[in-house]
Amino acid sequence: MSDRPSDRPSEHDKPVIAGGGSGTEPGQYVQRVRQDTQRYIQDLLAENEKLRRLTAEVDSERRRLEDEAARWRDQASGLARELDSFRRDRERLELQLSQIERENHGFSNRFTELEQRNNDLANLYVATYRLHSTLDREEVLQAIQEIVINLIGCEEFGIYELAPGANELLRVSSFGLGADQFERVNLGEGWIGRSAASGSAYFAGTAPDEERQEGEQHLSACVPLRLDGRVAGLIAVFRLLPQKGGRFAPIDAELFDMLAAQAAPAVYCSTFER
Amino acid sequence: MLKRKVLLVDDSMTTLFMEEMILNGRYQVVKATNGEDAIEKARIERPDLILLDVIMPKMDGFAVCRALRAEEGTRTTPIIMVTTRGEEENVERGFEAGCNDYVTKPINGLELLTKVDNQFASTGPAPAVAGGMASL
Repeated sequence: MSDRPSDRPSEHDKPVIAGGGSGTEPGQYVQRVRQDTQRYIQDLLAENEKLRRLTAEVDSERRRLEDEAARWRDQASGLARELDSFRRDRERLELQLSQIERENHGFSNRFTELEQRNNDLANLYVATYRLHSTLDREEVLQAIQEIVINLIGCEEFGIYELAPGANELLRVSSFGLGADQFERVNLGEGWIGRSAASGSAYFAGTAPDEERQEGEQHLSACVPLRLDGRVAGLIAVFRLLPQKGGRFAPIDAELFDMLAAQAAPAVYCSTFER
Repeated sequence: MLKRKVLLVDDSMTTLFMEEMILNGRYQVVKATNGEDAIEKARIERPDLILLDVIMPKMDGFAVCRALRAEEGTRTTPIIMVTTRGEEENVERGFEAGCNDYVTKPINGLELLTKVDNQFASTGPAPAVAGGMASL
């Protein structure tokens, strides 16, 4: 049966009663109405059955979808747990990574320190080796010059000797200084003389500026050279190479210490050869 | 693997010794003590890199560098100049003469190794030989 209005009895289908002009018998009309009604009921029942089946199908689909949703929910819950586990793993790994990075950074710093230390030791080894590789006085003085120029990085300095009992320092070698510049220095005068007299090294920034004498404004360091417990000479360092930035490096102090202890004996030994 | 060959040029025995100490573990070292000797050694030894001092008697490092660049065999050999004074003017003169890089005195072992390695990195993989300052 269809829901279309045209399939249902309408006002126009209504039988006309005797005398109404149609001439149809009342029994026929009732008969027809009954048939129509029965057909209508059949159609309704068929439609009802169809709807019932449809409802059953929808119910079935709904249950299937509910099952599927439940499965997805389980799966989502499992994935959430897995994700949570991954997140915890990631956090743990990130922590490990940052620890490893810290360790790596520490090793890297340590490696750089060791390389620097090796470099410093190489400097000292080369300086010592050069100082004691000859008994020729000029070569010893040349070696001291090369150490001061190439390993410490000075471009203006003088090397002085102090004879036992003498009152003045005599310049025996120099680099960058004029011929008459600090050729002789009296003991106790200025930084050079005071450093030699006291046996203490003077460094710019730590030694008193008022003790400088004229011309010593650019003096960077005075290092007394010792021989058998007495001062036998001195290295006066004026200007450093520009790339030093006016500062001594930590290794420079070690090189000065080495020169203070070993330069004078090396020069002294060379005098026997002469 | 064969070690790469580095020619060290300096009139100072102290500097040559220091450079040798720094590079010897990693590279094969050849030495020259003046400019003419350097050009001769470069022709014969065909070094992979030249470490060239600027201030030398008779023929300075700039002249040596220009002479090496004029020769077919050393036209592209990396040259690192060793300058006593690291002022811009000296550095510019070095690059004009054809050097690839420069280091200043006093030589720092780490800096020198890095610069030598950098030159070789641009020409190919570094030799797989352990060494350097740590092997001293």
